[in-house]
This record gives sequence, structure tokens and C-alpha cells, in this order.
Amino acid sequence: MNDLPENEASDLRGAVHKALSHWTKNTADPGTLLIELVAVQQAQSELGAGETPSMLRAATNKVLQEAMADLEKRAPRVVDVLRQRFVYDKTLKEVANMMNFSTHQISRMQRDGIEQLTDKLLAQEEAIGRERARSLESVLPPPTYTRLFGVDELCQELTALLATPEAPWVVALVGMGGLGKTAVSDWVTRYLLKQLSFSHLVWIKAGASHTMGGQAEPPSLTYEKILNQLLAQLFPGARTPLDVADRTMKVRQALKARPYLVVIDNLEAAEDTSILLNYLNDLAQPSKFLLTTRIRVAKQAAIRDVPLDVLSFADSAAFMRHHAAETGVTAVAQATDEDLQKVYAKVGGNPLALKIVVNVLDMLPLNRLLDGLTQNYPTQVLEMYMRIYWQAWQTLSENGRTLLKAMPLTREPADVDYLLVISGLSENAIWPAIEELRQRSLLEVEGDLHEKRYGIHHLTDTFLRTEIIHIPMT
Amino acid sequence: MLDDGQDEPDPDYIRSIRAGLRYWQKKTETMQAGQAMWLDGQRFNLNEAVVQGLRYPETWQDTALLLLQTFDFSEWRGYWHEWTAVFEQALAAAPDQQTVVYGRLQNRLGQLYRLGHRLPEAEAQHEAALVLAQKLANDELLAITYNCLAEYHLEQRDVDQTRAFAQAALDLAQTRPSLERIAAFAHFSLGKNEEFVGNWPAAIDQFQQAIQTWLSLNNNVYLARSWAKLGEIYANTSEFDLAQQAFEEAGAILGPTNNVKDKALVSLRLGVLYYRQKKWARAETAFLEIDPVALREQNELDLLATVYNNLGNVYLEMKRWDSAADHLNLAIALFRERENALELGNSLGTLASVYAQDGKQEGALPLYEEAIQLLRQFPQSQWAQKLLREFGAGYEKLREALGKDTDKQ
Repeated sequence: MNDLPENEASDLRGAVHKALSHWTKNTADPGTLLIELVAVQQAQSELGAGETPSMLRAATNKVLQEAMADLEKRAPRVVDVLRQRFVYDKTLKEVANMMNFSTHQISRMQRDGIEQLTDKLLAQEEAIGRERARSLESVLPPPTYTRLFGVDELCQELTALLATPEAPWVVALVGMGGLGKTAVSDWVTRYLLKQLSFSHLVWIKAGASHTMGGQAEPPSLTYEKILNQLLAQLFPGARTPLDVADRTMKVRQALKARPYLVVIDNLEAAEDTSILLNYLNDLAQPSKFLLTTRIRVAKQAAIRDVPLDVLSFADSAAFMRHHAAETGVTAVAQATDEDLQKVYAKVGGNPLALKIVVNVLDMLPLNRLLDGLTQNYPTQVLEMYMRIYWQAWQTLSENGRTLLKAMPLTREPADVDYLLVISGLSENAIWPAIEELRQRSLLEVEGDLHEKRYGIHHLTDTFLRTEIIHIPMT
Repeated sequence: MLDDGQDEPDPDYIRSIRAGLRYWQKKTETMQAGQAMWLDGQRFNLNEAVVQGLRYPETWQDTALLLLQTFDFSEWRGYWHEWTAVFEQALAAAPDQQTVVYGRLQNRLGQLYRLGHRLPEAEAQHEAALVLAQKLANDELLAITYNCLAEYHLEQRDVDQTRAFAQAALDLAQTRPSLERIAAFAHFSLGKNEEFVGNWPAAIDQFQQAIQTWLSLNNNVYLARSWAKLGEIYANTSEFDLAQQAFEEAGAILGPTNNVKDKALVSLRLGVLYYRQKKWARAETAFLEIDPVALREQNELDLLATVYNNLGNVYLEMKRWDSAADHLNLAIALFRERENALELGNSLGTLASVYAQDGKQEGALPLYEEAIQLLRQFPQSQWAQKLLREFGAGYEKLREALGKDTDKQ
């Protein structure tokens, strides 16, 4: 059985009955065609079917025919009834006479048949959904989390905003670094794909919007870069139109033709984000945009910003215990609420900060850590971070520090060869250092089986530049 | 413990920067197109090493040498607009301003200014480098600077100055085998200068010498550029087969690279070649092969405008008036923005021809007038004179047809 609520299943039963009743009729009435089924949409595209009534009917009938053929293996009699009644357009009485049953019995068999056919179609939809979600998920970078904490309501809000076929068309998930915007977007995206809310997905990693000289780039340039990435993903290998307006039109046409979910992660357009969002809004509908950004968005129609807040104490405690269990910091995994409350009072509910604290507690006793975090939360968030980083720094081995100190030279994740050069560590020394920093959540590892690259979070970078190396921020 | 007010950089970090700079120096020692492709994926870390290296006097020299060594990469891949501020920073942070390295940086900054169409600033940098080169009596710096000044004057369409400086660079470069690269650039500048005045045999001779030199230096990108220029001259002299061969040579060299601009230039010239042979559809295809996104991202607006202009010309020949007007208007907007008077004059005159043939005579007149006014600024350019004759005739014919006096121009 499927997981759909009973009223949805019964709605579909009604629709299946209606579609069967119109088997031989060429009407374009959408109520008589099962066009909401992905299987029918696929059949439509396999048949090269346009929007003509006869082609839409052919696609619907093809799906029903295949489902009946499948059902026939275990319920041949009811399928025979369905065929006689709808494919051959016979009356109840004619079928009853032909099969030597009463009309009442035939009516009951027909009802059973429609019910079983509906179940089959639903199961098929689920299977297609799972398959499609799997295939679309391959576009996504691997998730960086195993579980999310304290974001149930937020995820519900986001999925509702994105799944509804109306405004807002652009949704911005806003929050400071380390709160887990990318993780939340990843979860929401995977959920929506499983729910078949979107048939297509584009995931773009935006990144730096500053030039090498440090100047902020104008929103029009950020938009053009996004547009070019969209083009490359929507039309791989296709010739790019000459003019920006033509490129916009091409992307717009694609995003208007089918409901895409476009996720733009880490959008850092510092200058006039509202202009950029208006550009994106113009491309949307029925497609939707989900952005993650550290910069609050000005209020605008059809664009919604959803703040990602710090975790509550309960969620922070659960998160700390979970992370501790995952990384083998048993002292924290078994800590009392009272102890964790002390940590929360100093650190607050920022997941990245909490992760680092948990890892520091693998080395330092709680009181020592708490003494280091002299001011109670809330304080200046960045200052709080710096205190946490100091604590983490003090627990590091010499090689760990040496490697970490060199990391601001990696503006982008770098391979181990470069790390060897800039850290001056030997091959034997660098792997334990990498492992140590990774365990302390101070080093991010990305890549696949064949290639790994190593980078640092921008907050770690800020700490190193301001506190350790003493270089001005760019 | 938070900020303790200490601003001395950590000595370990200085060591890291130095090691990073050495790493990049080694990786870019013999810059070839394939290497540039690899570097493309790593450029943010290269950039960071440079930005950090310029912060400290003890790493300035290594950084400056790396900047000079990787200049070709930034120019080939169109990152020059990002590098302008970095070269400015490099000069501002130089511990000693009386060195050959400083002079070379000045010339490179001048070159970046030229690419960014900041000509007075470019000239100032090259002139300052010339003074320094003379003071240091350094032949290499002197030869480089002469050639930079030749390129600068070439962009200013100053034929005599271009010839004088390029020849001076060549004379000096030919005295030393180590300056062969500068000799090749000088041949290239001289070739372009001869092309400008329409002296095709001399231009062919210069480009062929440039080709020979680049071949011996095994520098593929500049070799491809020289082949492409040679092809252009052959196209001008209607030696279409030779032109095609030259473009194919250039295309084959550039094929495996990601040098967007160079590839675009070859497609552009190939399109022009087809255009000259009246093969409109093939010309259109060649122009449409060019990736406008990359050109715009690399700020190659003159080149992009030329693509639009050429497509406009093709559509004019195909009598697709609306497409022709659309593309020419795009070209005009860009050339105007770039203050490229010669090309702007050409696009305006062509748009006037489109309007004249499309029955929009009143709209054509002011365009012809502006085009003629602009083209008159280039009495030494054979091409400008040819355009003046064509547009002038079109203008007169139109005025006559409209029954207007012909003494306005």
C-alpha cells in the first residue's frame, strides 16, 4: 500500500473511474485525463504527444492499459470486467449477460477493479518518484549531516512555501555562517524531490562575489554568472545565445515550461540583493528558487526571506549528544542536561560552534572550557566564536596548528600536495594533522574516492586571520 | 584571549606564503596553454598567494616575479581586469622603485590599463618604465618598454610612433638571443601597423617572421595569434586558400586549450573569410560559434561588439533587416561605451545602410553623418578611407533620393 492519505487515494479512485469512463472519447477535459500522474506525463513524452485531446487520451489510456495488464496476472476477472465495461464500452447489463453474473455482481467487481487499479497506479507513482528522486539527487553534493536538529518547523515552512504552486517564487534562507543553511536546503530539496513537487532540479554553488582586488561585484554581474550556470545545466553542450537578453529568454523559457527547483547556495551578493532577486523572480513561476544567504533580503512581493535561527537549548543538547556519539566523544554523549546547559549559556545554539565545542571537550575538562568562555551568551556572536576557536586552538597538536595556520592561503579547497607545501609538514605528519583538524570540525573535506580537497569554513578563516596570523580581512 | 593589539604577522605564515609562492612559481615556470588550463582550476589559491605575498616586504620580490611569470595566463584567460588592482598594489608596495622588476611591473600594468581601455594611464606607466630603463641602462627592460609603447601607439592608430618604437625594440632585441621573445612581439606590432596602412606584403613579412620566432620559442598561443593575423592579411588580399590554411593552423593549435578569446578571434576571422567569399550562411555559423558569455565575463567588449557588428553585416547581406539592425545596435552600444571611434563609425554606417535598404531613409541620414564624422579622424587608415567612400556615397545617394541639399557634410 501507499503512504498517501485516504482522501487522496479516494480522489484518485474517482479520477481513475472518470478516465476509464472516457476511454473511447476524445475530450480534452482535464478531469477525464490522469495528467497529474507522472506516469501519464512520461507516456505523453514517450508518445511524442502534444496537447491535442487525442494524444492526451492516448497517453492516459496507455498507462491504464499497462496497469490493467499487470493487474490481470492476479485478478483476471475484474480486469476482464473493466475491459468489457470501458475499453469495449459495454453496459453493465451487457457485461452481466456475457459473463453470467448479475448486474449487481458486475458493479461490485467493477468497483473492486477500480480500487485495485488505483492502488497499482499509486504504487507505480511512488516507484517512479523514488527513481526520479534518486536520479535528481545525484545532482546534489553529498550531504554534510546525518541528522538535523531544531529545524522541523523551518523545514515544514520551507517545503510548504516551495511546494505550493503560487508565490513566493523566490525563497531566501537567511542566517549567519555556521547555522546550517546548506544542510537545511539540502534536506528540503531531497524531501521535495521525493514528494515529486519538482520534476527538475538545478543546484548552483554561488560563492565569492568579490574580485581579486577585493571589490564587490555588481548584482548584474552576479546575475549573469548565475544565468550562465543555469544555461550550462539546463542546456548542456548547447550553443549559448549571444546577447544577455537572449540568454535570459532561453533560461526563462525552460524555467517557465516545467517546474524546476533551482537552489542557489551561498549567495553573497553584498550590493543590492533586491535587484538580483527581482531578476530571479522574473525567471520563476512555475519554477521556484531557494537561496541561502547571509544577507537579509529587503521585503518584496513574491520573494520571501525565512530566517534560520540558532537552536534552542533542547535542540542544542540533542545535537551535541548526537555529534558526540558520532565522533566518539563519550564524555559529552553522556553529559547531563545541567552540564550541557552551562555550555549552551556560554556558546548559544549555533551548530558549528557547538560541534567545535564538543570536539574541544574531548581534550579539555568542561570547567576549563567554560572558564575560557568568560562572557555569557548572548554576546557579540563573532566574539563568542573567537573564544570557542581559541579553546579549540589550545587543544591542537603542534602539527595541527601548523597546518591550520597555513589554511588561509587556500581560498578554495586545495589538494594535499599544496597543503604539504604551505604547511611545511612531511607526508607522515600531515595525515594525522588532517585527521585531527577534521575531527575538531576545523577542516572540511570534499571530493570523491579519487580526489580529496581540504578547506576551512569562513569563520575558521576569520579566526586564523584576526587572532593567530594577524592579517587584515579581505 | 582575544585581540592583543599585536599586528605583526606570524612568521610561520610568512614561511607558508613563501612556500606557496615557490610552489606557484614552479608550476608556472614554462607557461603553456595546457598548463594554463590546469591553473584555471586552481587560480583562486594562486590569487590568494599573490594577494598575501604583496602584504609583506619579505615576500614582495617572490610575489612580483610570480605576477610577471603568470601574466600570460591571466591575459590568455581574460582575468586581466581582476589583476589590474593587484599590479597597482604590487607597485605601491614595492620596497624599491628603482629596479628592473619594478619597471617590468609598470609595463605590465600599462598593458592591463590598455586592455581596460585606460589609455592615458597606460601611457604614463610605459613612459615611467622608459625613464627607469634608461636610468638603469637595462637593455631587456628597454626593449620590453619600446615594444609596449609600440603597442600603445598602435592602439592610438599613430603609425609613425608605432613603427619607431617597434623598430627600436626589434633592433635591441636582435642583439641578444635572450630577447628573442621581444623580437617576436616587435614583428607582431610591426605587422599590425603595416596592416593598418594597408601595406599587405610588409605585413605578411612581419607576421611570417613572428611565426618563425614563436616556433623556435615553442610558444603555441602567440604562434596561433600570429597565424591568425597572417590569415587575416591573406583574407584582405583575397588569397582565400592561404587564409583558410592559416586559420586552420591557428585553430588546430588553440583547439585543446580553453583560451576563449583566442578561439573567438579565429572563429571571427574565419567568419570574415567566408563573408568575403559571399558565403553568408557559413559566415553566420562561424560567428555564432563564438561564446559570448565567456567574452562578456572576460570583459572582452570590443571583441564582442565586433562579433555583433559582423553578424549585422551578414544579416544585411541576407536581407534580414531586423536581425541586422538588432545586432548592429548591440555593436554600436558597446563600441560607444568603449569609445572605439573607428569601429563605431563602421557599425553606424552599416546600420545606416540597413535602414536605407529597409525603407527607413530618414533614420539612416543621421547615422551616416555620425559615421562619416568619426571616420574622418583616421586619415592614415586605408580601411577608414574605404568606409568613408562607401558611406559617403550612400549618404549622398540617400540625400538625393530624399531631395535634400548635399552641402551639409
